[in-house]
Amino acid sequence: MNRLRIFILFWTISLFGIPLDAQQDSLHLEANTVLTVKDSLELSERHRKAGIVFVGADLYSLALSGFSDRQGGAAFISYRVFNKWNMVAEVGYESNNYKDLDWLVDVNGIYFKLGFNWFISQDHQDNSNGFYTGARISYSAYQQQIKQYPVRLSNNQVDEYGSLPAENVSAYWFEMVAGGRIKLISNLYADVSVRPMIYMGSKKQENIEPLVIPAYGKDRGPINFTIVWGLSWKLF
Amino acid sequence: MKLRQLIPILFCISFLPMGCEEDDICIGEGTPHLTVVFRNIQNTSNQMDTLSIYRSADIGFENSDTIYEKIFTDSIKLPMGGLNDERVYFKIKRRSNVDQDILTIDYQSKSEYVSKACGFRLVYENLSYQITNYHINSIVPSESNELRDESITNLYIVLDN
Repeated sequence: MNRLRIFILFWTISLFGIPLDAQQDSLHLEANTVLTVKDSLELSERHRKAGIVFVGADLYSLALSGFSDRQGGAAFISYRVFNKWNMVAEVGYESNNYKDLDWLVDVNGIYFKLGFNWFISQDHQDNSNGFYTGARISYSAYQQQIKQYPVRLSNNQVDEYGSLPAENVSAYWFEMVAGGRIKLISNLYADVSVRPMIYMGSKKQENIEPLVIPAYGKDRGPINFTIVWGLSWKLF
Repeated sequence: MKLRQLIPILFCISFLPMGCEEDDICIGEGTPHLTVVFRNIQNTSNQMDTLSIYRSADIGFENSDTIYEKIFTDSIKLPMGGLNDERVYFKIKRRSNVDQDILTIDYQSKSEYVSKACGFRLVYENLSYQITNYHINSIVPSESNELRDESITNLYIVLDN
């Protein structure tokens, strides 16, 4: 009987204890929420602030120049327009060639890319760090020289070769972007992105589909792929 | 959680185009050959015979190519000349006859782009034919004097008996 009374007493105390703990938790939660709301207000003000400018260079295209036919380089500038939206402009120069299927084609010229990055996630401490997705409209104006083209027989054998003089042509394509930017030291950031590219059209020489385009690369069908390993500097 | 789900998806999508293969096979879209069919003297049906065919850019056949050597057939495909040529000669030898007929073809050629895989091909316009008559009765060109498609007969040669 005594045991029963002791049990009921502890059980009753326990029942009162639960709401007490819950009350304590809710107090903590409220305090945290207040802090978080305050932090997020500060962050969102910072997030919304336009004007953060990055300038950078693509190291991948520079690195390729050392051990491939693709020679050139590219630079870019990024400007935060609003919140998670960044306008991006890129410019570069590239020379390349196509030596396949009995073709011999040289190209060299400049290219421009204009588009945006939208940050999917940002670091709360430094909102320039984060993962982003985006898009570019790209245009290349270049000189193309077809040094050799094959004239094939119906059995696929090359019968003879021809050549065409150099001509100024152009091409444009669409790029999807998925990447990330991370602070290295001071205002220096690493900026890496992967980019599927969709060929859209071109000004052709003698109706010949472009076999190699500066910045787009060699023809592998309607979709191509590139990587940007960038180093960028946060100006202000 | 959404970000964690999204990044691998984007990463995978980015690599999809790397699986694309080059379309580098050219099938039947190159420079066409001249398709010739041999007919009997009544021109009522095709006639098979043992034929040897030689091609040359000069009438003397000093630098000739052997196209067919003693084949038993009723149709042949003749390779025409290149972009800088306007005339080609074919020596047609029936069985072991000493006298051989010479088919002379005049044409204008031009190159046209086909595809990356095929490159260019030649097409022939304003075709005209002349033939000697040792063992050949006559020739009957097709209605078109262009050669763009070798799957159709471009020239009928009516053989003597």
